[in-house]
Amino acid sequence: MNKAVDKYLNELNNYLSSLPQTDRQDVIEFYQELMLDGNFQNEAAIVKEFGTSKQLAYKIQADYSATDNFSDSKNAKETSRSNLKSIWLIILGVLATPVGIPLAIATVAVMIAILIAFCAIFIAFAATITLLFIGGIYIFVRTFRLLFSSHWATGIFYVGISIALISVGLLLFPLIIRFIRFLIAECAQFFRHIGRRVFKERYFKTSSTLSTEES
Amino acid sequence: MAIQIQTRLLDGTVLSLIDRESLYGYVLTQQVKTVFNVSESTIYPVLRRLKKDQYLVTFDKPYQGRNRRYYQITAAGREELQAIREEWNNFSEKVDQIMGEENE
Repeated sequence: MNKAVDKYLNELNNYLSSLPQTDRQDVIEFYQELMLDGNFQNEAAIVKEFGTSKQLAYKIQADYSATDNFSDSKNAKETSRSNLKSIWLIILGVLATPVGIPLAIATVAVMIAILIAFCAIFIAFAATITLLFIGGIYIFVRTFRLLFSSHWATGIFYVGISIALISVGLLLFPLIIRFIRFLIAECAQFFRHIGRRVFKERYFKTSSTLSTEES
Repeated sequence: MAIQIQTRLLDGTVLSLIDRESLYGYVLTQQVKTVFNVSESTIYPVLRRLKKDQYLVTFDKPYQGRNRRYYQITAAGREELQAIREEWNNFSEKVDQIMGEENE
């Protein structure tokens, strides 16, 4: 068959690693057919029409991420992971998209701002939990001895406090995990929304120069 | 200058092309490209979505030792096409009422 096409599709296949196997095969078959029918003889011709294999892969994956969830899994952990993957792929897709530099920069800046806000919330929660645990354990270790001394009453007071701190930490932990998942899902939703807009704008343009040439 | 083409219009374009006869990827892409200045990588997501919504089905035909995948409209696809057509007629009528008579 056609060596340049084979090579290009091979690369494309490697870059599409995040897609489910059947979808990936579908994509590859589609482009293979186009390239063979279009009679693209060398790599330069292919790149001129489709972009580099990496760019095309980003576009395809971003499109998937913007329109679909990767997993229909009910497993919260899986869903969060696929949401994070979507966010990442949409960012890459926007970067690979020639939407005009200012728009791309603005979009990516907004996305990064959201991610930073998101990380800040995450860190705040993580710090709270860690402090509760560390504080609890610290007080426990420092005051445990007192239980066996003449200050045993003070000892009980502090050990009680330390156990309370650790318990609050333990109770908050699953709540916060759930909240973080919720944030990730909302974030992904928003990114999909932006992604759909950006890709739409790129995809569907008529050029008046083209139509005047044709008429 | 460019006018943005809504997803819905592109859907309508693809559906009306395959409504005439079932087409394979290359021909379909070329035909869309004679109307809109879209890149080849635009068409795949559209086809994928239309297939997922069951507005079209695909079948393979052997050609020179490989397969060509043909896209065939379904009954649901025809209904969708009709809906898009009506929306478009309605819209273009309104636009014509306002902008249409400039050069007459």
